[in-house]
Amino acid sequence: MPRWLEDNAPESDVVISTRIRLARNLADVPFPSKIRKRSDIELVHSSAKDCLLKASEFKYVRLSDMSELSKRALTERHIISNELARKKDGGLITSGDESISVLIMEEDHYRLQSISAGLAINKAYNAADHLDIMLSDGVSFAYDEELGFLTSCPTNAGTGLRASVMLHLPALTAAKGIQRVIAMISKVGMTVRGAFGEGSEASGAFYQISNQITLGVSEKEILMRLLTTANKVIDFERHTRRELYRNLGIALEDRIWRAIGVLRNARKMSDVEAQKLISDVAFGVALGFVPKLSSSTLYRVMMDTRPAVLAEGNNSAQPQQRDVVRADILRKVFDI
Amino acid sequence: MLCDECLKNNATVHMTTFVNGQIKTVHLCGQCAAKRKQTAIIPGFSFNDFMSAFYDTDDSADVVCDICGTTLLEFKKTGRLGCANCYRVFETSILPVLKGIHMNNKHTGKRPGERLDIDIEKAEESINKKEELKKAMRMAISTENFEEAARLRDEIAILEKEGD
Ligand SMILES: [Zn+2]
Ligand SMILES: [Zn+2]
Repeated sequence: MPRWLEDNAPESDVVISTRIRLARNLADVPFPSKIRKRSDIELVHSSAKDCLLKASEFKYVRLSDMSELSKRALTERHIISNELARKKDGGLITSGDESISVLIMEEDHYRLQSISAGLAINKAYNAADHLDIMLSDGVSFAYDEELGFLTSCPTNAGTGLRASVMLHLPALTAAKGIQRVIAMISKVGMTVRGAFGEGSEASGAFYQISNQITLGVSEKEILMRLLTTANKVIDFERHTRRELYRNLGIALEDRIWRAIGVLRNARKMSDVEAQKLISDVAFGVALGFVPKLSSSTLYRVMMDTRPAVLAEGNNSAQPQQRDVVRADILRKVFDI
Repeated sequence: MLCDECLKNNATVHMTTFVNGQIKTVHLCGQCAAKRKQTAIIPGFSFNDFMSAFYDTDDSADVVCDICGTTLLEFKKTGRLGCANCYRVFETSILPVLKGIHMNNKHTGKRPGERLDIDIEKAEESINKKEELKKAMRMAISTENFEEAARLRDEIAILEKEGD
């Protein structure tokens, strides 16, 4: 379902995606938490539509017109936040492949988002920048010469830029190297968190690294720092993968092939179990054990089998049927 | 009280978190608290520091934004501002906090409508090349090969000019 995933993306053995988000607000309208006038809310929506729907590939939807299931599916695909899904005045503009999206009336009037497969910081940023310029041609933003772009939460002020990469770090997770990554990253003003399961346990060794500082640094500096940090973590993960294989050898191979065995035979599987097993197989693919599968195939099937995404694509399968449908999908993919 | 996470064990740890502008207290058992510590958001600064910076400020008199009605106390509680004007109204409270979170208080990024055309891979390459040249220059100086050192110095100067 995430159509922006592509084969052979840069560094895709470790990096799933690069994501850029720009926070923007209209100059003379209160931020969403304090917006009261109906006409102001409509202005926020219509300004974005007027500026962006000129590009015919974009489509606009009001969240109040969407089913709960579709909204959940969007949050599982990391397009919208839970916060936006709950808002009755929210809106969303997306490109056909969902690589570009604009969240309307979340914490700020606009969150401009761009996602690219693999490590592709230039590509993701320049797409978001293009969107920013299209919008700024038609509206005036809340902007201050000293403080830059003004946002609802001062933690986003300045550039309003949050740049992140989603990484798959099975070896560092297994070898307890994540603490060192966290220490290394926090020193340079970055943060790391589990990519799935909000705040709680990171399932399947997927992590997101992003910048914390948005003011007093330029976009280029933020992106450079992200690139340098990501490259360090990628090297560290690859090194640890080789070390683990050297130390564990057949035991590691066994674990990976057992994961494939379960995935190709199970008749019922929960989301959490699927993520853990797919994470193991992705590790094997990166080590070259499983030539018939690619990292992008695994990332895609992982997204496709998340509960709401799966239900949306399979006639709104009820929760108790989902585990069966999930196992069916997985059996086909892992029948290698 | 039961643990919020596993709903099985007794909660013994009470953590206050600041998520999406909301302060929440979570009650966890020892096991779940330890798990959460491993994977929790660990930023360069903590949101708790960010909040305590507010509490350090004097709040004897409440200030109100005349445009959106947000009060200083409300901002201290939620961490959210109500409109662009709030930045001016609460300036004296916000600036020290901004300074605590960010590099400094002066925006150095793009202006509205500016096109950046970022090429950081190239920028990174040039930084690496500069490092190499500097190393070679130090080497040339230490071996008293001053002609070579001067040539390298000029090459570095050209690279520095290119990267803004
Ligand atoms: Zn518990
Ligand atoms: Zn205000």
